[in-house]
Amino acid sequence: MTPNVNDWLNEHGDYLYRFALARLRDPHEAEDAVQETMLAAIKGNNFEGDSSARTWLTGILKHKIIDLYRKKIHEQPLSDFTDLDASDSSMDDFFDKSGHWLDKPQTLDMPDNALEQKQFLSVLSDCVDKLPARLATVFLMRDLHETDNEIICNELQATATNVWVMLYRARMGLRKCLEMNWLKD
Amino acid sequence: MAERLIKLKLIITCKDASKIISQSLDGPLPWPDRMKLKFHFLICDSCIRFNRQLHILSDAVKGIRNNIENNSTIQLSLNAKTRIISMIDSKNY
Repeated sequence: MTPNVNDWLNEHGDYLYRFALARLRDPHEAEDAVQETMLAAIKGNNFEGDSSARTWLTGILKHKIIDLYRKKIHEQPLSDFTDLDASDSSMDDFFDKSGHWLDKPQTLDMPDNALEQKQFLSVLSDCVDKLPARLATVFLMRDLHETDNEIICNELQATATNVWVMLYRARMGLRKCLEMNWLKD
Repeated sequence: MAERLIKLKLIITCKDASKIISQSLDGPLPWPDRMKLKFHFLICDSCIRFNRQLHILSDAVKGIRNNIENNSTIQLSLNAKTRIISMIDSKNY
């Protein structure tokens, strides 16, 4: 089989680009991911006819996306990483000394109508941007790319406890941010 | 009775409950944690709401993703396509 990047790009390029953009949220990174995918596809040239080319390329792209997440995380200053103990002080903003909520969580619903839903998602997007970059990336890896925790641990060379603490903190921050920016009257 | 439950550590604080709730999104909980949460939800509306918030958060993030994936007006730019092709050509694969 002669691999033909032209054909791949014409038939699957837009799809792969959207797939990458939806997960990386940055057009340049998404283009890079597609480019890396094409390179790997042509180098490896191990396409087996029993899956569709799109499935095969998407499989490669998924790994490239994880590579980019990993890179993003390692680019962050280490200070983000240090305070990883969920046990205590890091959650002082949310709980009092006896472990009760300082501000009780409010009812949060995803709006039904399309316009409001769009606004809700855009508020959420802004909230993700406000998180410390490491937390945001781990959160996106888990909840957006739906990477298994085990793989996240391996990729980040972090313990399972570290990863769940990061996820916990990211989620705590995001739901608070949604309460403040979406539920405000 | 209450004393026994505390001894069994079945009664937990909201702070502990919130950690278990977050973990429940990432895989099945160990049996004792499931029990603790069940008990806690019986007495705590705040944590029920928090649990719901996290599920909405997780659904919403997937909503953002699906909106982009399904938006056919988003395309790989011609520039990018050309660049990728010429990059691969230059490497003589």
